[in-house]
Amino acid sequence: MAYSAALLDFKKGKKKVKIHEAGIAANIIAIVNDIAHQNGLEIIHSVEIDIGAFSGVQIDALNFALSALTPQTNLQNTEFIINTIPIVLFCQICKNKYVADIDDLVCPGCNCADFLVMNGKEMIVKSIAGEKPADE
Amino acid sequence: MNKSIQILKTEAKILQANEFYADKVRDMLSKSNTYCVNLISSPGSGKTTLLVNTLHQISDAIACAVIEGDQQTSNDARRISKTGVPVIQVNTLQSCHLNADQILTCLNELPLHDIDLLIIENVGNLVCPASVDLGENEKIVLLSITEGEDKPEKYPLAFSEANAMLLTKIDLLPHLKFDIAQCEKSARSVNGNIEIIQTSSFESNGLDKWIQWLKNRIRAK
Repeated sequence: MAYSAALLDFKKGKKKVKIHEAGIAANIIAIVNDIAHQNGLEIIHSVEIDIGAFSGVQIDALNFALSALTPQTNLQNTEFIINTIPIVLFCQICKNKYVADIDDLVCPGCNCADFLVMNGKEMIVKSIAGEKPADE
Repeated sequence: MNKSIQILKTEAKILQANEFYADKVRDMLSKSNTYCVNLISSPGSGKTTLLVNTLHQISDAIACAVIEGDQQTSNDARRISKTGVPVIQVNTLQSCHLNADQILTCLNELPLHDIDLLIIENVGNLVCPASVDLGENEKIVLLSITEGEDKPEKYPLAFSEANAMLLTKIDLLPHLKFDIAQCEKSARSVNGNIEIIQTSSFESNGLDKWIQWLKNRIRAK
């Protein structure tokens, strides 16, 4: 091998939110603010979010993170509506489409876990309801 | 005064920023013909030890590079650097996983066109790394036999995302009550196609099957 050992150590200086769901919440807030700004929304009443049951996101932790990150911001009175999207799998063995539980992913038809995930991995800001400034 | 209430259908992916960087990583790896694996496991499963011993055996024949993810310290990068393989340490601080933008930054520091195999050792965690795309070709999950047999069912996303599960520390089997068949059954209950490879970093030939599997994957890329 022609390479010499290279050790490069770098740390990211910027402040980051700590836990996984807090990072997700921070992304949601950034997306909402971007879209609200682009569309001239001044007050944001509600935000609808889809979270798949197979996405690895804990809804309780996400609700907590949103409630921790929004006070004293423009989103402090915004209602965050989180929909849990059920897991729907497509069995590649018996071509069966089935609704699965996170505790039981096995196909009821052939008892195998050889699947494509059709639904359940969603992490989507689905809609934003807000208000434009009042017309004079 | 008329209030104007609007409902905007956004359908915006929450991880869209990460996906943007992951696509850039994929593009760079594809152009340089570099195969990339993302190692995921709980802390202490033996990722770094497996990696060091693997690199000793393959780095003469395959040009490798490593990205090490840890919350703190450069300890693992120091261990890797002794093998002579280029390594970059990313300290994620309080974050529990690597993100694709960090990988992209690393790629710009590596002689990518000379590298056949890039190994990312993610932060020890079976939850968050499973849902974050780093632009890798495949995820590989490690489970040491000092852990529970039912880990795959407890962390189904990680084990269903991985193409292979390495059962590490297999040399400790005589000292433990670990049921390999039960563990394999647990893994296959969340991922029927997962390749299961037993490894030992301390026995001769203990990594042979894993290395052969890895070589086949690189060859087939």
